[in-house]
Amino acid sequence: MHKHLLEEAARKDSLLHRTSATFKMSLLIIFIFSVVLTPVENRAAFILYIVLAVAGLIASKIPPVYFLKRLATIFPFVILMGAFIPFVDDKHGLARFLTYSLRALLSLSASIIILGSAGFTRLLKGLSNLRVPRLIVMLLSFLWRYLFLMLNSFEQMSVASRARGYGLIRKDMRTTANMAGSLFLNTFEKGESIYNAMLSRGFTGEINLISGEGLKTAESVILGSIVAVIIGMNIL
Amino acid sequence: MNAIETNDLGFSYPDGTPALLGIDLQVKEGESIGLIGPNGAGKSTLLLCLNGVFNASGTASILGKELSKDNMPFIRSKLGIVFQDPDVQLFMSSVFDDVAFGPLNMGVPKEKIAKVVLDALEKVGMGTSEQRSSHHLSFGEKKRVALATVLSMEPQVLLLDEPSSNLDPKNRRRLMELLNSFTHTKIIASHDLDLVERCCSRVVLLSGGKISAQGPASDIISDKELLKNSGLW
Repeated sequence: MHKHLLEEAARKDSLLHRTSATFKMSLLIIFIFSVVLTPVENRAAFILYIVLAVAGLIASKIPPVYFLKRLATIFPFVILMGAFIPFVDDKHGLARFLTYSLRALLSLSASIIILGSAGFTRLLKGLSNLRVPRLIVMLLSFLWRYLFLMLNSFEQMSVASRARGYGLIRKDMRTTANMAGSLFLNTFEKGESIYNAMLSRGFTGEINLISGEGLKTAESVILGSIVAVIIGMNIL
Repeated sequence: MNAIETNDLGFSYPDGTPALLGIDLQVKEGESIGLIGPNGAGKSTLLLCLNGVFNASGTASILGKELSKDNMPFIRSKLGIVFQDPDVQLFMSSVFDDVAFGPLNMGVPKEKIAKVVLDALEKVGMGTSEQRSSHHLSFGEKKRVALATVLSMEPQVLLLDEPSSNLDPKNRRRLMELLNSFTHTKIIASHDLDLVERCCSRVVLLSGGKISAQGPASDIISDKELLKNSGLW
């Protein structure tokens, strides 16, 4: 049984935890779009985004270690993707790379805080409320559910191979490839069985989902105010 | 009236391997049938054919309606199948969504779903688990929630595939008590002969895709020679 850190963080109680998933998802989307679209010259806006991210982290009571671990896992990939920027543009390359990194850092921080304060299941409800296509919501739901099962299968396979001495003297690509193949076949078979289980409970291809809690009045006011401030800062 | 009646039911897998051959089965309403047989005898396949997941040859009628594509919504709403592996049955991200999946497909209005889900979870003793993630449940809990995913559809017939497999003695006993408290027509496919004897009045013995014997549970299960000849003992 896999216990995921994300769900442990989501079980905490804080001001941000108590808001609806729809509010959190809306906030995240608005924040990311603002961070990405604000011109870099608008320093006041970026200072506001940094303050918002820090305030969000404090308000969510998410442990800083959890936050930094998540950030340290994803951020290097983002840096790697932008590493070529300084070489493309000689004049402003470095400045562009730094802007890109700052935008990525802010967006990732916001995503980690929001995910950590809602939990995946509640966020899916939030997505459903925001009219994200049901097929995508259901695919994400399956991905979340079966990722843990796949990890369990892989762990069991790995333990079984180690129990028979694999890795003590030799470790070869062929065995690893066989294990990956076996995992793929298991996954494929499980997929067939799951589809049968869905059919047996009346699934006809039409996806029916129950949406989660909608936006509360106070949340709508807060979102509206944030949008107004951001627009104001970019116009003035 | 027979809840289930099959005539010459047959099924072969896509690679041509025959799984069921000439199955003639009658199950009365309210009756509990134990389906026993060695591995590969066709027990699970028969359950999937009755629910219409596998297209079988021959004819079958479920609660008076012919097993056909047109009657599938009716049949799937009345015949609830609980799979052997609860991880197959619990595919949504939360217990609530899993138990609500069937009723939503059956067209139960969304405002009634919460009550239907909680009632079904209550019946299996999982009343406060609706917000939990399925992958955080213990195996015994998963089995009970899997049963709730079917009970929420308010079926008349329960098809259970190896319901007691991998359960510890305490959870197995609770499951037997639960099954005996249900008034539904039941077909229980299992290798757990003790469970079958305690929960079923009649037993159908499958061997090589055919019915090799059927009769009162105690008679069939105590006939070790018969079980040996069919490859189960």
